[in-house]
Amino acid sequence: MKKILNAPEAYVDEMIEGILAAHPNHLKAAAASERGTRGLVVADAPIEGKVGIATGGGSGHIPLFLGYVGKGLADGVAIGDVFSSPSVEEMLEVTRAIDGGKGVLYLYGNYGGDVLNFDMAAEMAEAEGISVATSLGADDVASAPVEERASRRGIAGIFFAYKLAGAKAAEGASLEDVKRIADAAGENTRSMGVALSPCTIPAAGVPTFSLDETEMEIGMGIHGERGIERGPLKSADDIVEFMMERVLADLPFASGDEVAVLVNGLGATAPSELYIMYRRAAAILKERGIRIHRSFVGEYATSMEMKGASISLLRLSEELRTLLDAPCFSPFLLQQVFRP
Amino acid sequence: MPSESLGAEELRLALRSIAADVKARSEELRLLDAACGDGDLGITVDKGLTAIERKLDELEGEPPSRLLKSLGLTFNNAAASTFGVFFATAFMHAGKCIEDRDQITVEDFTEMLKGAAEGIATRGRAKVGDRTILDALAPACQAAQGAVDRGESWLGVVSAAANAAEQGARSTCDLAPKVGRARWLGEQAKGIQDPGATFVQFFLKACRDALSGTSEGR
Repeated sequence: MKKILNAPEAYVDEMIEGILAAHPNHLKAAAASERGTRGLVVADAPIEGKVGIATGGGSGHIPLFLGYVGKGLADGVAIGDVFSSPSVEEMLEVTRAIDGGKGVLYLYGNYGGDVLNFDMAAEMAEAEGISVATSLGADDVASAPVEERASRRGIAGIFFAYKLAGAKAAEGASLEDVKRIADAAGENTRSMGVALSPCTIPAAGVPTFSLDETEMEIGMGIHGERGIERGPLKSADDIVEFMMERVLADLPFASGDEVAVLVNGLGATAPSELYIMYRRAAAILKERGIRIHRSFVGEYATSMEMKGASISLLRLSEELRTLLDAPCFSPFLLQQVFRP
Repeated sequence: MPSESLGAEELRLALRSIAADVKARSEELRLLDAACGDGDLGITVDKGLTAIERKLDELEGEPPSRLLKSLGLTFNNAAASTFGVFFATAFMHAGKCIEDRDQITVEDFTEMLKGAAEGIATRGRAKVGDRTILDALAPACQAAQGAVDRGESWLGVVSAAANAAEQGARSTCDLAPKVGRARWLGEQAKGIQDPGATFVQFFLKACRDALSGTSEGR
């Protein structure tokens, strides 16, 4: 293991301390906790009259999840250990800290441990008089067939749900409406990833899986979950064509559709390579008569130092397009008002 | 007839001994889970019960219901794994069964077991036969109710529950997992006792030992 750290067991807490120290005007701790701060919320939380959006999940995916806490985005995040769910109490602390009287939306990726903890936190929050609704990111088409869409894993495509639901909440919409938008983002987003190398959980010290120097695995999850095809590394165009074919067929995206595109790096793939991928993805969309409204290329959901990338497509309606174009700010993401 | 009831302090001391007894067997759970899961159950149990032992000192004087609910969250906060949620769910639901009570009767104990089982079944969307915690907990509920109906003592009721849990846990060797991560293993899990059900077996045995005063943790 070759990482810049002090002690594996302090990895998450020291990262959080660093983030709070770097962005004191934007983020604050949800509450004091025995084992250090594991809940972060926007500095002006709770915002009266606005639906709060809480997210959370295991560490190791920055800017997911905490990078999407900001203006026009989510309001708070519960942070677990690397690749493990945060606890019910941490989620409750975040929920209480961001409830501005209009309820709280839980928006997070579809993983067993996270779902169980968030469901229990929702029950307890309801008992305290806070309305809670839930929307799950389940965009990874490689993780289950389309008939079992509800069981799919959530990967980088959840970024679109934060952006759209966050913009809706910022308008002062009801909890029901914010959930409707988050669900619509999920229903219209499809993603697929490719992994070229594994990553190492600091506390484990050894890689979670192995991939030969010349191998890749298409469809692998952001924790190393099994994908759909392992084989020799192909060219960028071949990889993108394989992924795009499956992503496009899954919704399906059709000629005349308008989309947003996200090409996401998993942590150790150079931005240049992401643009080489984007080049082919954009050409395929053009061939299919699908118009690109806005593109995002960079790191939006990583898996520590994993090498690889994912492609996500969001089909836009007029309502979703307006929300996507709305401004937003977090220490990790800035979108100003201008035409893309 | 079922004899005297347990007060908050007796419950607190019993839980301390139970936590110590079960923690001493976390390596057995780790080995079982490594054979048919992802191997973290032993670590989860060790972390969760260590946190509970610490928390028990702070909870002196708390009524039984608050005691159980607080311990459920303490375990989950130390280990927010899938098992950590089920542990918290069980303790929260058990705590709800004795709301506003200063003393717990053996009938209450039976209701607490049932409440825990129902809570876990709902949250985990599992039923008996799916090779889960419930395969030990559900027979324990039935056995406890039977013993209460027969008018047995606290020790008789808890012993009946512990024996039934042990048998139930053993029966999971013949079952293929239907829910959770282990379901990918299918038939390959057969022959290995389910780690979650085994936890219930260890826990109820520790309850009996705490009551009879034979606990090693005491």
